[in-house]
Formats: sequence, structure tokens, C-alpha cells
Amino acid sequence: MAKDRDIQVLLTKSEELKALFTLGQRVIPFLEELFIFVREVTPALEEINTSIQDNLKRIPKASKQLSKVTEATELATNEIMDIIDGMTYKLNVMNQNMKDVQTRYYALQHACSSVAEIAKAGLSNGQMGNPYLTKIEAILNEESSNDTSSVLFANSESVMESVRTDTNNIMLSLQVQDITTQQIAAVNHVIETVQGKLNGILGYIQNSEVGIIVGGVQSQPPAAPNKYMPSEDLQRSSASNSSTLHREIAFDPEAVDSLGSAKLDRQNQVDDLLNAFHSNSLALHEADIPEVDDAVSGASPVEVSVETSAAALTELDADDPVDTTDIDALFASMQVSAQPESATAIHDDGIDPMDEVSQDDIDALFK
Amino acid sequence: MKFLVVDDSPTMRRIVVNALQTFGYDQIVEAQDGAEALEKLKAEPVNFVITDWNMPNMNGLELTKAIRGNGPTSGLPVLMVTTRGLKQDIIEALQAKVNNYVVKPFTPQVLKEKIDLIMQSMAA
Repeated sequence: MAKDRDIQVLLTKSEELKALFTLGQRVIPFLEELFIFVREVTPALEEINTSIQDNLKRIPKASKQLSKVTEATELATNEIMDIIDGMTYKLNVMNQNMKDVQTRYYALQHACSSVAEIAKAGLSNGQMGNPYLTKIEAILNEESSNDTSSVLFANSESVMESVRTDTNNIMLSLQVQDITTQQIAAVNHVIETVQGKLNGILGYIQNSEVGIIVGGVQSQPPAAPNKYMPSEDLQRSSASNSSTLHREIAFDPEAVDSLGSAKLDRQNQVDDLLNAFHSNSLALHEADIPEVDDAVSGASPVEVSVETSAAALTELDADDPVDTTDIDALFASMQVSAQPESATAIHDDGIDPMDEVSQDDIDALFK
Repeated sequence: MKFLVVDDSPTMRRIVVNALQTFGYDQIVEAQDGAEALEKLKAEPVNFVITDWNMPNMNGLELTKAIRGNGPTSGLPVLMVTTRGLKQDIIEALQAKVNNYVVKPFTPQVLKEKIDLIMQSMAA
């Protein structure tokens, strides 16, 4: 009886062993494929790792180059402004000199007229035929008939005014430096973000079992931190939309729209938007518009709860730096309560709040 | 009439200061961000604030709100000069109670017009 049971167990075990061998036979090709895959993927992983490390090494250089560009353009702009200031000063000197010359000229002209009068008086009082007086009168008469000095003075003043306008326009055109710097800062911000992500990926590879598979990764030192973008700065940059180049630069990612043809498009879009806004909002929200007008003219403030912010501000000591967290909290409270109906009305006018508006639109809002 | 010009860009500060001088205003104080502007406002009386929006530490919108929230400065005229031109931006500026708004790049005529408008409304 016991023998039968033993044989039965033996048969069961042999069946299990057979199943195991069958499974092994099926698994072996898969394992072989897996080994081949690992063999093939290892160089690829090494390549990815090297690529990430190489790119990480290049990113600080890219940031540094961008920093040099913004610094150089800022410096060059400053030099241009110095030259413009010099030109303006010289123009002022020229203008004053011109006025002095004009004054002296008119004084001289007055003296000549007096001499002419004397000559005339002499010729009509017993000196008739005096060759000297006759000559003097002839010269002065000829000069007075050909006097274009007033026109020349006017032209000179006009030219100087034109040059002054040109210098002012050059000065104003230099606003482009601020706008392009903001764009570069925005690009740098993107690079910094990518660097952060790559650092994260690299750290993950180094700390995971993939690092063991990829030979040499463990021995690689971690990527050198970018002095232009410490990791703490990245977090702060994300929150405040600023980027550290040669100085910390806050940027508007849409600033480039202020330039070139986009500027004209924006102006046109604003004109259209202004018309749409006026026709819709004024008709639909008449009660709200005066509130906006009063608010922007400062005549009577919109009902905005500012007690919290006032209290917060008065708590600020002259020696205390303003804390961003405090300000965030301060403005968070304002944003919750400071929702004038007019502002809501602007949202409700069917116009996308993300649309760009022109100076004309803005003027209409602030009238 | 003393102006406070707030902008993190030295170029823009100089442009605005230059324009103000052309208009005949020569009392001008400068600050490179909202936090420094608040310090300047505490240190000396100012009659008019021209501020950029995008600045590190404290931006122009936050500065405006801080000015409005502080008793002694709450009535100070604030002109926002910025590259921001989205309608949402204008609404936020209205909510912060800026007196007027100029988009960059601006012309001196626009800047002068806005300053005059604000002054007229303050005088009325």
C-alpha cells in the first residue's frame, strides 16, 4: 500500500519535472533573445548616458554665451545712449550759439540800417553827390534787398529740431534691447528647465539598476552644477518668470510680439478688439463701465478689499526685505476679494482674455 | 514734481528718464524692482510712479497693489509701462488700480499723453 503511494508521488514529481523541462525549453529561446537585447541595448544606453552628459556639459556654456550676449547688447545700448546724450548736448550748444549769432546778426543789421539812415540824411542835407555816402547807401540797399538770413536761421533751427527728433527716436528704438533681452531670458529659462530634466534623468540612471548594466556609469561623476543656473534658481525661476543671465532678468514670454511686423499686427488686432469690446461691453454692461473708469482715473476706487494688504504692508519694516511669500499671500487675498463687477464684465464680453490688445484698446479702457 | 521710475532694465530706465527730462521734469528717482521702489517711497516723497510689470523680487503689479494698500501712498498715480499686451493683463492692471497703461515699445507722445491724462484726472 505504502509502495503504491510512493510510486504515485514519484509519478507526480516526474510529471512536474517534465513540465519544468518543457517550460525551460520554451523559456530558453526567450532568455536568449533577452540576452541579445541586453547586449544590444547596453551600447545604446551608454550612448544615451554619454549624450546626456555631453549635453549637460554644453548647457552651462550655452547659458554663459547667452549671458555674454545680453551683457554685450546692454553695454552697447548704453554706449549708444551715451553718444545720443552727447549729441543732444552738442545740439543744445549749437542751438544756443545759433540764437546768439541771430541776436548779434539782428543787432548788426540794426546798426547797418542806422548807418543807411545817416547816409540818406547826409545825402538829402547838403551832401548830395558825396561818393562815399552814395556808395554806402548802395551797398546797404543791395544787402537789405538780398537778405535771406531769416530764412537761413529758420532752416537751421528746423534742421536742428529734426536732428533732435532723430536722436530721440534712436533713443526710443533702443527699447528693442529690453524686449530682445526678455526673449533671450525666456530661452535661457527653457534651457535651464531642460538641464534640470536631464539632470534628473541622469540621476535616475545612476541610481537605478540600469547604471549597473551600463558599464562605467557608476564611476562617472555627477554633472557639474551650472553656476548660471543653480537648482534652487530653477525652482524660483519657474515661479517668478525670471532667469539669471548677467543679471536676474524678469521676462514676458510674449515680449517678442512687441517687435517688427508682429507689432503692427498687434496694433491692428487691438483696433478690431477695441471696436468689438466697445460695442459689446458698453451695451451689455453699462452699469459696470463707470466703475472701471473711476477705478483707473483714481476718482473713486472700486470696492476692493485692501485691508489685508494694507496691514501686511505696514508690518514691513524699512530694514526687512520684502518676502515673496508675503506678497503672494497678500495678493492672493486681494485676488479673491478684488473682483470688481466690471472686470468680470470684461471677461463676459465674449472676447478671449488671452487676446492681445493695442494701445488704442488700452486707451479706451482708461478713458 | 518728483517721478519714481521703476524698471529692472537700465536701458528702459534711462529711456523713460530721458523722455521725462524732454518733457521738462528733472526730479527723477530710479529703482530696479518693486522692493527697491517701496524702500525709495518710504525714504522720500514722490508724486508719480512709472513702473514696468516684469521685474524680479517684486513685479510692477505687486508694487501697485502694495502702493494702493499703504495709507500714505494709496493715492499715488501709477502708470504701468510694459511689454504685456494681453487683455487679461489689462484686466489685472485695472484690478490692481493702476491709473493708466502703456505698452512697449512706446512713443514719447503716448507717454506724455498718459502722464498728462493722469495729472488732469488727479487735479480734477
